[in-house]
Amino acid sequence: MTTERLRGLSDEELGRTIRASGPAWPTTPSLASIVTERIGETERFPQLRPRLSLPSRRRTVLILIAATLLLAAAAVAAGLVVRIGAETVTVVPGAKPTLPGDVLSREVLGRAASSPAEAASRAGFDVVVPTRLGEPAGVWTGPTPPDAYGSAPVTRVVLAWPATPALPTIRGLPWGAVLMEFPGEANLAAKTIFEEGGGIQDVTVEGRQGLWVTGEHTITLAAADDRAPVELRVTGNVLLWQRGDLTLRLETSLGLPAALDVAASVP
Amino acid sequence: MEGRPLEDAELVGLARDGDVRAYEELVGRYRDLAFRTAWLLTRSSAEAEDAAQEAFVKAYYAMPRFRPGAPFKPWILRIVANEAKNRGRSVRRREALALRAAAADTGDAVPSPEAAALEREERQELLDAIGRLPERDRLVIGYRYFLDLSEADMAEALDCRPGTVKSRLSRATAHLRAELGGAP
Repeated sequence: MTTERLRGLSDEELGRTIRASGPAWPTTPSLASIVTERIGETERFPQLRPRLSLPSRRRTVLILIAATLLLAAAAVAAGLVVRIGAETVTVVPGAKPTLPGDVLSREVLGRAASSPAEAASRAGFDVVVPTRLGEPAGVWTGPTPPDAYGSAPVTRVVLAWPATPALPTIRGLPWGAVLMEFPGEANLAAKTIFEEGGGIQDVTVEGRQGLWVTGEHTITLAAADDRAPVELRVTGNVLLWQRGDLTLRLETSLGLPAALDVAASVP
Repeated sequence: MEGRPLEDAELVGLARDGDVRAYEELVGRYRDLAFRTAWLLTRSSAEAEDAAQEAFVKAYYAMPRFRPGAPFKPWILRIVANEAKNRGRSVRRREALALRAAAADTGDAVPSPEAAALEREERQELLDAIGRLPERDRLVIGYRYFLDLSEADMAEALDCRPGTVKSRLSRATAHLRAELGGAP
């Protein structure tokens, strides 16, 4: 038998032939107990809710313990993946490679809105504005695809403020502050931080776990429809935290205390 | 879990309320499908195991958002496929998926009469061609012919309208013919 015979089959016959030619499946691992053990481990550390794409449960346990003890150092050592709401943060050992040339721009932020209220009506959630920053100069909404859980597509909102003497320009950007707001738990953004030249610190924002990230790194934003995610270079300092159902990402050139002040001014 | 086996919907309801044992039962029911789906999309058993494991953990935490009354099987397969695709993209440089034909006289499944009649060489050529297909086509063919999903389940798992399943399958079959050397 040759491919000529296969090509000569009708669709129905070819389908039957494919069905009869099933591959030699590898043995399915006993996933049930491993999955429930992992759920049990995660329940003990609910504040982390990690996404651990690691090869074995043993490493998972080690990393969970390490992250609880000292997030930054352990994270760098192990190549930790931490999830905060809609954003996944991966810490990669070693020096940073060549980062993407593109930075945040109006083009990648989506559709401009005239005000946070208009953005809220498009996005379907209450857009928050830190009182310390006042009214933003720019507002955008960007659709994101439904996640793997089959949840409805959501809309992210981005607010930007111009630089002022008290709010220095973020290197490479035309703004002094950028606040991204992601609703829900869908995986809408991913951040990669490099051990050398980068810093990550576990912080508390309004009583909730947050992360403070310094040094150039990358962020990958989920794109709408089937378009490829957009990978961008991040030059500012980033405070990442959750507030209710929202994941908030504040990028500025401020230090941590000032950034926390801004976060605390979210009504 | 004594007495009659619980229906998926009952187990889902219990799992939504935090019953991990009920969820373990669901994992046990669908681990084969999940692992095989992931294996079709990734390049190795290890990657498939990780993808399936990760998907089941994520699905547990997504239970509150699971639509009541919806079938669990295509929902979990959608999560598994998404996880596997993400992993597959990270290892895209590897060689095309090598699907090895099951031996005609061994394995878990009893070969159909058609399978018994096929020459091993031809079967391997067919599987090689399927392995060279883009993951989108490979998944459609895998769901339909290897994993025997209904069109309704395929629509849910592929996140498309039921009417689209036929056209996707037709397109994948045409691509397969092209891989076999014929006209698409």
